[in-house]
Amino acid sequence: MKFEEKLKKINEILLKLENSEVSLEETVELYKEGSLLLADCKNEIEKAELIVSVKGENLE
Amino acid sequence: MSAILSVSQLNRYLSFKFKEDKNLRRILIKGEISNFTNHNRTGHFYFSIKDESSMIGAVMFQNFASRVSFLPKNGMKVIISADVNVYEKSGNYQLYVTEMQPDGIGEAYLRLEQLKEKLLLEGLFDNSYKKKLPAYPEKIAIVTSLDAAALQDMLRIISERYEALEVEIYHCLVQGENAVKSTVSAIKLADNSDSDAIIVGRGGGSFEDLSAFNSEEIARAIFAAKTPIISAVGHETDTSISDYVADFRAETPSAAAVAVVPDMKTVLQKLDDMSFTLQKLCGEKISDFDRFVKSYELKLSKFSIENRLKNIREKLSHDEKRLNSLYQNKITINKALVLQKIELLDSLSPLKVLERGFSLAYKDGKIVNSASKLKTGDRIEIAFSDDKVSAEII
Repeated sequence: MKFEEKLKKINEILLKLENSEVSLEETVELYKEGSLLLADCKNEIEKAELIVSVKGENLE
Repeated sequence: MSAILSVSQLNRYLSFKFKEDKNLRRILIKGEISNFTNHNRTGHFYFSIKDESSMIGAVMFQNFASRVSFLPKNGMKVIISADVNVYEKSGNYQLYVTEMQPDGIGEAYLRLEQLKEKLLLEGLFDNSYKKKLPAYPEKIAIVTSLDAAALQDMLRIISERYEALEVEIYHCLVQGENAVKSTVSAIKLADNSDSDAIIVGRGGGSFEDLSAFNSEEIARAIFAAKTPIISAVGHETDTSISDYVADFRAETPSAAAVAVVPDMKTVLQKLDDMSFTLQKLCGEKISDFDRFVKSYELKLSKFSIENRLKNIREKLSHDEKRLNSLYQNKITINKALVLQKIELLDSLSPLKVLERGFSLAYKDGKIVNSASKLKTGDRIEIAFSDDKVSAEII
């Protein structure tokens, strides 16, 4: 899943928790899912290193 | 005979006619400046444009005049872009100037203006075609020259802001005769690289140096791309056709680098905020459930075995106490009754009579209450108050 999609998913989870009547089981599931996604996102941008490469056919 | 008009009505009508005529909108005129006045207080330019045989008044308001990169002088040959309108107060028609360039680069400038007009009419600059830049790109492409100082600036700024990124550089010639072809082909390659955004640009230079980015070919390549494109050509004051057609115009390559990626600190802060909200919401929900369960526990505990046993025990102990006290009462009453009876019995006892000197005769264990019941030779017992004796009737 792309970073942006993960953030979108987390936002959906927060909205669900905020607005709708969710069961205890669902709350626990949503919490697990949200925490994992957040940790994933954080890890992704903290650990990542900029990769630079030169492409194309104009190299003369 | 038509109605009599006031002067104002006539001038308003003429003004309307001028405004209605599309041939008088955004026209390009070349000529020589005369009667130039730079109105210091307001910043407006007032002047006339003339050629060998004719002259027309012109005004360039401060918001446009401030963008003119040179100081106009009387006698200077210029090309201007303007609308023709009527100044109703005096009934003059004049030029309302929006752009002014010196006529030295005349031909090229004219071609540029015409191309701009053509692409504008075709809709290449329409906002409805502009694609949104991704908020969190994972891969971007930069179309520029490997030799450009602007490239180093962009890479430095990107690495300072956001490292979770793959950058592909598509080298192209950004000036000279092959620049257009080279840049178009690099844009096409970059567009097929699955990048989330493309920066097309170069650093500052002269009008001629930047001319590739005013070409129709590059404009169309940018328009055709399916990837969002940021145009970053030259300095703040340079505006190229690439800038108009691109999805996003950055004033400089450095500004493009800032626009293309988010700031890592802001993103981390956002993640922290989201994490806090998640904890808070779940915490609240779980406390709600906890309270709910506790309230039921309380209700249920009223029906529990322990509670029922406790109630029974309490009742039993209460009954026991009651019984005990009733029993005690009864005993006390009975004891008193018995004592009373004993006293009564005592007073009626035959022993009491014996004590007074009487005695009782028994035969075969039965009291003899008449002498006639005895005959000679019968054995009897005589009871005194203190003992019994045996006797024989003679």
